[in-house]
Amino acid sequence: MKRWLSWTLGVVFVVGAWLVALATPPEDAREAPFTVTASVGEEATGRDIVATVEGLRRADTVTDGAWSAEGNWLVVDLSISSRVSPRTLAHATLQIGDRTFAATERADGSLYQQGLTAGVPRSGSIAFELPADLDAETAVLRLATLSDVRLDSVVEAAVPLSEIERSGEAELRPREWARP
Amino acid sequence: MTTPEPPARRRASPFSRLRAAADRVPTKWFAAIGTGLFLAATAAFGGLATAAAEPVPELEVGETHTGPLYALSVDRAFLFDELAEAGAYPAEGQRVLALRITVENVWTSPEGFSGMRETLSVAVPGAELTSMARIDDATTNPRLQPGVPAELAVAWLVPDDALAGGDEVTVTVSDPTLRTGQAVTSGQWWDDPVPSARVTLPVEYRPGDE
Repeated sequence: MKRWLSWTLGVVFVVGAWLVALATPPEDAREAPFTVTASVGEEATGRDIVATVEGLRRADTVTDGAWSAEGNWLVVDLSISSRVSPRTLAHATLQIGDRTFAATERADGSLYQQGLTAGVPRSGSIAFELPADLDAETAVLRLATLSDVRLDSVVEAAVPLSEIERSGEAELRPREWARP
Repeated sequence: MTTPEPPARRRASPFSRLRAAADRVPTKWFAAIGTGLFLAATAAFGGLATAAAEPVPELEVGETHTGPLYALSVDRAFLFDELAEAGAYPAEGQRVLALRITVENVWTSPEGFSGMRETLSVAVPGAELTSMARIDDATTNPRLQPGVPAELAVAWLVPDDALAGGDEVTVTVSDPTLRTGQAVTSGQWWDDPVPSARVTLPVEYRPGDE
């Protein structure tokens, strides 16, 4: 074999190996959730979830009946149902940079961890307690109807944190079944 | 047993000299020399005697220890007959030892009681960690969000006669290690706590409720 040919082949193989390594999906990709992206006010439908983010509010105090708590709060007003089976709003997270926040379980009246029925939407709110010194422009809201989201549908919505006006107090929306 | 390499400038081939030198090395002694070196090294590190545990630093009451998961300070210790608000239901012959702590999750994901189980322990024989609760709104076993500090009561069930008001209790704060599931396991969890600080504080007995 010609000397130049063997060198060229060698370089081609090294570059090829690099491209293969670059294109290889990460190990957990084979069980990654199926993402349905939605914007505020738009209905998103996944395998066993139908969700609409109806509003985003930020406040220094969140109230829910007699309960209230101070902090840096994001309240998400929602309308949500399952599609084929009884489910639970078991996964509600907010991704900010490399940090993940879960919806608070402190407010009893929130929709978090509430049961969902196929085809009958429930409306209400979930709330996220965030660090006081949070300095982030955007976040990603993720909703799913099982706590284990592997290979299940996840509704994803971008949350423009810095554009939401922060008020003094926000009350969670009462939990209701949709009235057709 | 290395032999110094002969200078390469000599007339004879350097390899033949090296081989001649190597042939003179008594290979039968190698095992004995190796064993001797191993024993000497072992003896130098203390032989078969139990290694002294590295002393764990003492914390002041209220001083914050920052680990990989939680940054927390132990503020007070209480002994209760019962503490249903914190989810502790003592059986006959048991009481509740509760620590008041200030804790912040310094990890990147929410973590709750299971992480606390790997972080706090008390030197009371027969004590079993049972639950924790927020002090402000009594949420039991809350998930602590990253960067959001909280005041908690962490409760152990202890035998009746193990502690009395005025006794001192030693609390060990450990640093757990993050595990990531692979192959047949998935997710992330905290495991293998290593003691990294100790706090000793007096126990205040509260006969009635909080």
